[in-house]
Amino acid sequence: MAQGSGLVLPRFGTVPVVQRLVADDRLAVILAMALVDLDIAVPGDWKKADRDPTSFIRITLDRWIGTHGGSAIRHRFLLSGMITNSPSDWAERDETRPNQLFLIVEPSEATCGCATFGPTLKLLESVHPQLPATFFHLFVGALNRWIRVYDHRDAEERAETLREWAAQEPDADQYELPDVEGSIPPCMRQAALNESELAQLKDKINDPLATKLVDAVTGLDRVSRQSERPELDDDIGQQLSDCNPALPCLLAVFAEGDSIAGCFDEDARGMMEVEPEPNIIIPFDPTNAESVQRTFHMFGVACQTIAAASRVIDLMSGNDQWIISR
Amino acid sequence: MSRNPKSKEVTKRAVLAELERLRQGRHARYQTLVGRFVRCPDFIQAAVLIAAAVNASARTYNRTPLDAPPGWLPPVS
Repeated sequence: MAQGSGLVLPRFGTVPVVQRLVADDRLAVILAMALVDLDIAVPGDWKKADRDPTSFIRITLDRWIGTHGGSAIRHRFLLSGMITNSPSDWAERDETRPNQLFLIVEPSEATCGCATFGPTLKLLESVHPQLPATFFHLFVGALNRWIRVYDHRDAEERAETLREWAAQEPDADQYELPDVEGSIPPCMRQAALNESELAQLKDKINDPLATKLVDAVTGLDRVSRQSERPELDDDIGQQLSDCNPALPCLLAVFAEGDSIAGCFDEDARGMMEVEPEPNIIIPFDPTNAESVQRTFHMFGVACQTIAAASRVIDLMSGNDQWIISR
Repeated sequence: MSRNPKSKEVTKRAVLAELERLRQGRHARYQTLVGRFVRCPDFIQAAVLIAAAVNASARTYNRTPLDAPPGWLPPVS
């Protein structure tokens, strides 16, 4: 034992204070090599990671999120991204695919972001009657390409299920069902403008905030289309067969406390009864550099899409109370 | 302050070399006793057998004899 500098207490000197051993980090080592080789990882981080491949991958993932809009994402969303060898905690590892890993994204702490659309739709309606529906569908459509958004369509589905249940009861008229229909602004019934109609209209908008909103939402739509979520094959589908649907990452309401929010609260009670499947599941092979590159590109697009959505919500009035991190 | 590209390339090569040693199991961290243990199936199997033997032995010799109910005959050995 090394001699201490104090008067009485001995020190452990050169004895390591942390002991860490991973029984099988073969895939982590191979993935770390691919990330360095592809210049996705920063070699300087190897020292920060205490020369541990798993920590190195975690730092690289954090850095990748940071360079693809991490701060904007954290502003409005509480998500976690990780690399794992199974698509869900419940799924058994597919032993026939020893080199398969998954990059997954899911809400952390089962917390959902929120966006209120009412005031923004009102502003856009004053510009053009079809602009509110166009804005809403561009926004939700872009996000839904990557993560789940709970909106009035989910609420309508829940209300319909409740209506069917109530209809079977003898005192059906005694049930109070959520008025989702009444919470949807009439402007949402309009057809959305197509791309060229929107481009023509954009040049004629005089309101600076409306211009910013349209620019931001078309930018969001563009970013979200830069890649596509991979199709999951039957084997992975089988692994996820006992899972609940993915948890929503964003709740889209028209007004605070409307019946859409009410339906969400009711639905949310059952969402965790069974392990939900992650929002994003990207299977990849760490021994294949092209597969690693494609996966990180896809993940980057997903991050940029969520970050762009966060920035759009920042422009929408009535959303200050939904900020998660400043 | 940014480092020059040459230095970055040197670091990259050094990291890749160290990862390659890890991949091949030649890295210093696998030369420790525990490191060798986790990479050797025979060591692990032997440890599992010893642990099972110790458990079985504990079960065999750690019995608490119960008193026979009153009026019962003593056990015949």
